[in-house]
Amino acid sequence: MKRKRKMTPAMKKAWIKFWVMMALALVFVSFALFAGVIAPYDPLECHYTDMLKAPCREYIFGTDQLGRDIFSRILHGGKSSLLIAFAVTGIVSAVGILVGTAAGFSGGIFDSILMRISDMLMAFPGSIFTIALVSFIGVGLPNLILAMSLTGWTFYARISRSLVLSVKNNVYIEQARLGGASNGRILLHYIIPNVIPSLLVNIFQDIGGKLLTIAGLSLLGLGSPPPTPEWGFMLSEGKNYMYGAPWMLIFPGLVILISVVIFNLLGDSIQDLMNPKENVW
Amino acid sequence: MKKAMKTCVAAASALMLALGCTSPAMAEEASDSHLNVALYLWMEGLDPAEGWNGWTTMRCGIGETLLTADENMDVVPCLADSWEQIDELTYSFHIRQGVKFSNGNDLTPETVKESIERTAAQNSRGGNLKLDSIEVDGENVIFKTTEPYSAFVYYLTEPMCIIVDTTVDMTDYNSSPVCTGPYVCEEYVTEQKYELVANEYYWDGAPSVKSITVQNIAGDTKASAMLSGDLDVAVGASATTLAQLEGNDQIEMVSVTGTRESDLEMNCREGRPTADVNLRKALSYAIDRNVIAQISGNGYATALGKAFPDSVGYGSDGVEEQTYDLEKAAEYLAAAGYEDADGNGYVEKDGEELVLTIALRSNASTAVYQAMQDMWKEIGVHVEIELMENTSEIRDSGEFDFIAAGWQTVNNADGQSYLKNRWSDGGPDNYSGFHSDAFQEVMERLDAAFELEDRIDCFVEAQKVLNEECPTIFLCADDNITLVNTSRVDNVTVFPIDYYMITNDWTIVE
Repeated sequence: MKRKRKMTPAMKKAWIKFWVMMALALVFVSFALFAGVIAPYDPLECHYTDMLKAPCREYIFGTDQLGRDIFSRILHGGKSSLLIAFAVTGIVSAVGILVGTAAGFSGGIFDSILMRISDMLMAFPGSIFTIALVSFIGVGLPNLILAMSLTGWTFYARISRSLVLSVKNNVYIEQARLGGASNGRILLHYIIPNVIPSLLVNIFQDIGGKLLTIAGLSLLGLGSPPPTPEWGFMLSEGKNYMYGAPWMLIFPGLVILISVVIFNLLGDSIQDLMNPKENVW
Repeated sequence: MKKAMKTCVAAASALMLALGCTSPAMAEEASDSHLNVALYLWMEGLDPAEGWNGWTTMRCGIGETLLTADENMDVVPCLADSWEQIDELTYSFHIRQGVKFSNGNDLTPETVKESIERTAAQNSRGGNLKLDSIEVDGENVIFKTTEPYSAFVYYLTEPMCIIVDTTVDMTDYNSSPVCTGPYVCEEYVTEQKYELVANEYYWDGAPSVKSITVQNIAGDTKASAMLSGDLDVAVGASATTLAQLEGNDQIEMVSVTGTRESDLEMNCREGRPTADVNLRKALSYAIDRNVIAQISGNGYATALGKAFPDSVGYGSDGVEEQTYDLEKAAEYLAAAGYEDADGNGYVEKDGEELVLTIALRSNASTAVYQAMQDMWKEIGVHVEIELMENTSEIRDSGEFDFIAAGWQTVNNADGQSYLKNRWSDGGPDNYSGFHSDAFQEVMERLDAAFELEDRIDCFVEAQKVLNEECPTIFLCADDNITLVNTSRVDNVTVFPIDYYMITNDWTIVE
């Protein structure tokens, strides 16, 4: 153990990994954000004379069965996929942390009720529950976000509750309380700042997971209605052309793979940064 | 994820163990004269008196009708070995002697009478038979219709008229009907399979293939299942998946120009925007059917601008087809009172933007409809695609703008039921709520037309009316594609009508 606040080589490596991943993620996000500027074609524009064209100079990722440019569709699809993933992760982590800390901090019956609700939701397999919900309330973007949020928050509530329980009885909290700090102040200034960093890892890794879920749902036709480009839906449209026009499948698949890997590694790198063994000073 | 994988692996190995436990003798026998097939369409239930179930019973070779349509679409004898029309209302059918049901009971004129009466009473299309009375006269069955009805003889080939044994308990007929066909359904597993075994009492020679498993395999995966050897014969593989079979010399692809069509029905009910014939025509003229056929059939479909594909042979040349003409589309759109006043690219009427919706099942292929949406955007009509779990609810309640449809046009080796069911007043499949006096008049004329020439005249006339009033946008005629693994099975006849498939002629290749 080192007493001095000095970066170890491991820490340095972790920081490098973090910045590389962060840069990649930013590149990805900006591709999606500026899809309108970068995309060579309108993602909805059909070219009936160029249907199922293999990748060429004109269409770098080829065209689909309606002659739409796959590259442009992937860029625009990224916008909605990332937007939903960020929105859902934001909502579930905020709600989950709030519920979890409140439950852990107050304890008693309030804790029991909140945790039983979360137990109930956790009893269902998450993705199947989401599919059932979307089928029930109808497909479309807002419903998708709602359904994914309804099932996602329990995870955060669980973790933040246990984190709260582990810090709640620390001496410094007792001291603050003796010093006259109100419950609200203790929560905001002592507990939540202690909880959030550990959850950051989960939040970033969750973005990757959510991207995958979104792709899965839209693959099943439960995402935005066509012709809105979405990665999962592009896969589902491409699967019938697997032999004749494999590029319809390969490129959206690759993009899903790469984006999920980037966000998972980003989460990993944050974990490395916060690894207590290295991070103690 | 890892855990899920582990579970999968565990389940798979458990399954393999279970399979390994079956006796080797049984497995050998099964591979000897056993086939796996996929029908044109998987449907639940086999009782011909219920809905369209008889179509499955027919495809499986379980049931037979008095008359049947052969591979040239000629009506030929089956359970009746001869028939004659006595007068405008009366027909006499001589029942084939020596035919036994799969339970060993004899086929008698009495069971024929009761079986047809049962279907006429229970099936929603039963009224189409227009039966007045059925009488037994020795070895003959005498049918009387309520009015001169030229389609009657053709109707007896409809699978709902499959003859079942009415002398036994009929409560389980959805899983094990007693009929006269070459095969018997031994086991039915909902959503999975029908296990067929040869009918030892079959009158026209025992089938040499002793057992057949009919599997529920989706159209998208039929071609792959053929390649992997999971299927030996498959009808109705998705055209877009056929590329993978190119260059494979074991799997033969038999394609007959289909008698099925694909179209989009428009809601003609009062209060709906598409109640306006001018709007309907504008929408029809905006569709480039050649492109649609290419997208839909990937080379295995032809554009269709009228009710019957040319292959049906109803002299449809005289019919002016629905065509692609953007100028006319614009004219009709203006005539319907729509214009783009606010310049946003979409037309309005009385200040309100026209927004129409195509309702589709969430697992349907949407490519064709996305293309149509794009084509309508050209003329400024805003169309949305809505995906839902089940479209039959809004179809039945009439709460829709467009419904995708695809029908067999010559159900009974004759075009009448298709026309009548879909577009006449009270037709069971008239989901668009279409009414036309001219069409009704043609249908009445058709009923009394006993000569083929007169019937064809009526078919041509009906198509003209349909294109004039445009309740339906015809899109394309799909080829009927049968995939046969020639290294496994031989003597497979391919019929233009897709409810015929399994016959007693099939043989296993040694």
